[in-house]
Amino acid sequence: MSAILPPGRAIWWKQPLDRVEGMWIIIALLWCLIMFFMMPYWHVFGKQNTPGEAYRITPAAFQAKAQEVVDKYTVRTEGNGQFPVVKPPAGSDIYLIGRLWQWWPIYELDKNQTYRLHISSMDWQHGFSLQPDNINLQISPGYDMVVTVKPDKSGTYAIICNEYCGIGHHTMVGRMYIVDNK
Amino acid sequence: MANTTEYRICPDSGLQFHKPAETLMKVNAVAAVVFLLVGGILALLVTLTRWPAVHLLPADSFYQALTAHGLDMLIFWIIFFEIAVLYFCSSTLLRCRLATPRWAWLGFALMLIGAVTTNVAILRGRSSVMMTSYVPMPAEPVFYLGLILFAVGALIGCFVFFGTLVVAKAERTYEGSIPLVTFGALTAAIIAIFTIASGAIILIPTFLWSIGYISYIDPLMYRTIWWAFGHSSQQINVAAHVAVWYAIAAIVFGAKPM
Repeated sequence: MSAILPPGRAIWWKQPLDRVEGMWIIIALLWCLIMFFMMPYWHVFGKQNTPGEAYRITPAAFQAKAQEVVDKYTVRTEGNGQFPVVKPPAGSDIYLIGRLWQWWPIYELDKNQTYRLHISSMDWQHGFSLQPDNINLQISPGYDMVVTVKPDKSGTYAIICNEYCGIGHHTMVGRMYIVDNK
Repeated sequence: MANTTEYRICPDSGLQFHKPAETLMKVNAVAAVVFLLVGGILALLVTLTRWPAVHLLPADSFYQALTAHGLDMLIFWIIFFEIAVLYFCSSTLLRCRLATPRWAWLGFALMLIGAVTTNVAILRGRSSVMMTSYVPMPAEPVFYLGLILFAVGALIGCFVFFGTLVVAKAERTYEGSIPLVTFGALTAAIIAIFTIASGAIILIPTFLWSIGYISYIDPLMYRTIWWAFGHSSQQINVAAHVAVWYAIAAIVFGAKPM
């Protein structure tokens, strides 16, 4: 029988399974199952996934909340005064804005302290990507994405945008400082 | 039964071709490889830009080339070719006439107009939104319109294929079950219906949004439904290319799978 001709018998599938074919079916099935169970496994035990806590919010309301934190806790500025460096108290809610084409403001967080990091977009979709630790989250306008963070390594981190957001996408780079609290 | 002068036997493969169907297979396959060529040239531009030593294109043309590359390679080339495969697997393998060649031509015309329209929209420079075109980043309305026309054309092609299966059954041009390769093509066509429906469900409102009839499209809803289209369009390819492997093995090497 050829693959391009109708099978010789109408009921063609009732025939003994060849050992090699059976082996391949078993291998393929096992691999499918491994791949399938890796998804929930990695979601629960992998260190890159965020819990997916999110709320609806308007860009204006989110901006107002971010502005409030910035007004209260700015310690200095960078980039010709364009980027406030904000050092909020441990345990507080902090707000990071993604917009064309910047992450605003710069947060300075204490190591081993917990913060509620809210991220939202003012315009189009952006991708929050903390480097070099590679923690990623898609950011959409109208949604407040919340991540409870407890930084465990001090240093300077880059936040890059990893969802295409127009002509300035590759220039959308922000920063985050994690400092040792003494 | 259709006139026998409408058929010819291929001297190399011995397969029987319905002439109107053969012409349609040729035009679809040729359109496919033309888009493959365009997409391939764009791939070269993308690669030469990503190569730091060359860094060929400035940002705006790079994003433009990348958007067109994605659509030409992942949608236009593949689906044009799959329509050719569908017609081959139905009318040639089942040795029957193609159902409604005129509708098939209409489908081809819509696909071609749609694919060209979207490419022109990207070329004009205000639709560099990537293949995913996530809202609310806007493209020109004709960008979405081209995709919708292409999808409608592809849908017509799928139904011409289904119709041809019905014709073959009704006119008893084969006995028993359909060949394995036709079965693979049928699988691809069924997935294609789901794919195209998902594409329509999200791209038609997006088109209406781009011309101002709808004020808001939820970005998460867009992303979810868009990927019902995006992922399953790749599953069409999987089903179709497995079918094509079997077809090539059988036609070129006379292989017998079972």
